Amino acid sequence: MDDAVVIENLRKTFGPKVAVEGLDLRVPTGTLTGLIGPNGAGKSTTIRMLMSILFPDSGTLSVLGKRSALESKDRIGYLPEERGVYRKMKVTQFLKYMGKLKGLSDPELGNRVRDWLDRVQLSDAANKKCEELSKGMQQKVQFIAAVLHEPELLILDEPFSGLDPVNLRLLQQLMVEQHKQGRTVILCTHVMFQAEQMCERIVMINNGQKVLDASIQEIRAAHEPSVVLFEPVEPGTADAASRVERLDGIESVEQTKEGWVAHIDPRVLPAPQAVRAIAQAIEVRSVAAKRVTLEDVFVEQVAGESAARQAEIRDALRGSGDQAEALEGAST
Amino acid sequence: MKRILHVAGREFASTVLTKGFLIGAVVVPAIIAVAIPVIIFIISQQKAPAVVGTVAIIDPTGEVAPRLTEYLSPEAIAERRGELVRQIGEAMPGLSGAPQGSMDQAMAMASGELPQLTVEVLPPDADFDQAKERIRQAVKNDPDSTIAVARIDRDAVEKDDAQERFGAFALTVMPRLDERIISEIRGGVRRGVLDARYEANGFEKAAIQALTSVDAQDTTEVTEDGERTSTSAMSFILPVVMMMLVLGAVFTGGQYLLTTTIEEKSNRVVEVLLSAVSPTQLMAGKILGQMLVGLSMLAIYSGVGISALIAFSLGDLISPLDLVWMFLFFLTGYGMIASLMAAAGAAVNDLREAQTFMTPIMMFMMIPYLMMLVVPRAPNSMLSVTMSFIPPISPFIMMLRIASNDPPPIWQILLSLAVSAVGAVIAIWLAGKIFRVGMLMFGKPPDFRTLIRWVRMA
Repeated sequence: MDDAVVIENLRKTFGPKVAVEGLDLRVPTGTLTGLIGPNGAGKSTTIRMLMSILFPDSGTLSVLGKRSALESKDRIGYLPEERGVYRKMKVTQFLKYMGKLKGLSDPELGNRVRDWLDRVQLSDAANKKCEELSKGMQQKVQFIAAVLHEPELLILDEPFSGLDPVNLRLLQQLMVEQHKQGRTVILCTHVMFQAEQMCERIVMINNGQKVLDASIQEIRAAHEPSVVLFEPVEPGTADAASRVERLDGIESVEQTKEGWVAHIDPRVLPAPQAVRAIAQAIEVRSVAAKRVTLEDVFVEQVAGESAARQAEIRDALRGSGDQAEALEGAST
Repeated sequence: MKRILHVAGREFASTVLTKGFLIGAVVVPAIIAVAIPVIIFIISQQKAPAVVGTVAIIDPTGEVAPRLTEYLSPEAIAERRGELVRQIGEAMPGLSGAPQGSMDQAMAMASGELPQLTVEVLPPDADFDQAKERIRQAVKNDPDSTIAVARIDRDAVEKDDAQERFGAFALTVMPRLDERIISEIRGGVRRGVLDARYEANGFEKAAIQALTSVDAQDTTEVTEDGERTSTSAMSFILPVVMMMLVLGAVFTGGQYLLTTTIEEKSNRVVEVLLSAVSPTQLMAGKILGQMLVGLSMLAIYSGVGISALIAFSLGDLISPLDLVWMFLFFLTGYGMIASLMAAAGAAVNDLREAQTFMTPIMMFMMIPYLMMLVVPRAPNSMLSVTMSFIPPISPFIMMLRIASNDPPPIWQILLSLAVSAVGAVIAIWLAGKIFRVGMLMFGKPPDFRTLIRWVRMA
């Protein structure tokens, strides 16, 4: 499979601050790749260099087989983190202008604008000025501007920020649809939950450096669950807990807000066996291994950071509760 | 190139379709063009009140009153106005094409209808203050009401040898009397006194008038096509107007460039645009679009100005080559000033912050304003020549020189154009670098040192 994006040893500094350092990255064509990391990790800077909006200090990159995105801008769709529209321009006018800049021309352009506005339920706003739209509506308009010219590569930088659950779900569906149509999609986000729900490949960046680059399956295979959740028939019984704790390979048991939690050593007792062992040891209503989250993986990757920094990173990676719930809803 | 044109097209359309531009570039000239004939029409419809009344005169000399009576007769007034029309016609040849009837009508408007004034000669020893009382009791448009009282000094016509000066006269008029009527009465008294003095001293009025008036020929200029009446006043005004046109057009385009750049940056639409076009293409498109805006302004105002010159038969004051120079120097001036203003817009977050960078640009731009009184008088002085080769003021100073009485040699114009063009290329190059970095920089506005770093960075 060809790579839509190839980055080698990329470096970018802003004065004394190193934004990206020695970054290597390959995004296979047709994949939905999540570029994740906390705020300030260097994601947007990397994306801007990909788009030839910023230029690297050193290193090379290739986008859709070209040395620079300048040569293939018509084949790339980009939704930047910093959203913006011409406030006084009408929605249709704005989209047509963006379409023309992307090489489209009438009458095809007019038809596409109409179709897309219809799909995102903005037909009524076609002749409204952009400033009259809500933030969510403006975001949908910008998404249309990014996909209007049917790009081969779609780069979305924090596409869900500020969206209400309904629009968030709609945008997620549209993204998945774009991916299913064979487009390479790069989703850039600091909310790991979103990436985990949607992406098939994850690239983690911290402090301008890549800390992980693997498929979701590879990540899960490499990070065995180390926690088993169980619910005894008689909840709160210390006896059940102590019986579980005495099992080989169980390191500790505690009661949390999620319920009873058994921490295991996967090397001694892999999660599937731990589940079976607990089910046999006590009478349970439910027992299941807790899947490792990207957040756990990321924090593991940046284990060298201070505890305070790790807590900060965890907070940043979780995003808003609303978004997580909406994505959960969208994935079910 | 297509993208640049799309950006330019949007930039042009979004600027010229704003109320501000329509008012400044279209409505104001249109109002001026419409207002002048309308005002003339309105004035033509305004019949000045036919002033009727009596002018009382206390004339101890007995010499002035008969002359005043004759001077204020409707026939004499009509004759004087006719003479004035003839003089204006000679002084303003551009109006000579107008039909004579309309000239007369215009004069009738300007001076009002002929007054019907009766001169009442009061006794020589009449009390001036009592006579003034009659004015207080005057009724408007009553032929018997006294609207003015003149008192001639006893020694106004003849004086003793010991006396150094002649006596004078005093004039009192009713309140809110038409200025044109006051002028007629005052002129009549004055004329009467003078004529009486001539006669008393044995001079012939005609001889004195012949001695004291010189029918000077118009100053003429020899041109390639022949001779024409001197237009020395215009030769001073024209350079200033042409320079102001270029400067105004450059500044209009530059100002719009500054505000639209700041708008795109503060709206955060810039990154969306940069996903479709390169920073260089974006800036080029914006500069091109606003250049068209400036050119439109230049064309509109130049068109109005040239039409006015042609209307006054002064069309030959501007040669087509002058217009070509104006166009070329606009381009270079715009290239220098507007691109720096675009860079200023890209570097800041709002208009207020932009003032920091606008101040030095404005200081440079003040120089042509200061020089516009100096250069047309000495277009080939060392100062004028030197300044016309110093960017970014070179295009404006050169326009002052080109339109002056003594235009510079062609090599100087071409050299100034070349210097300005190089200045424009350097300014655009610098602005491009600042633009590329600045458009994505938010937060604290940069200082000049940071700008230099940006130029090195980009």
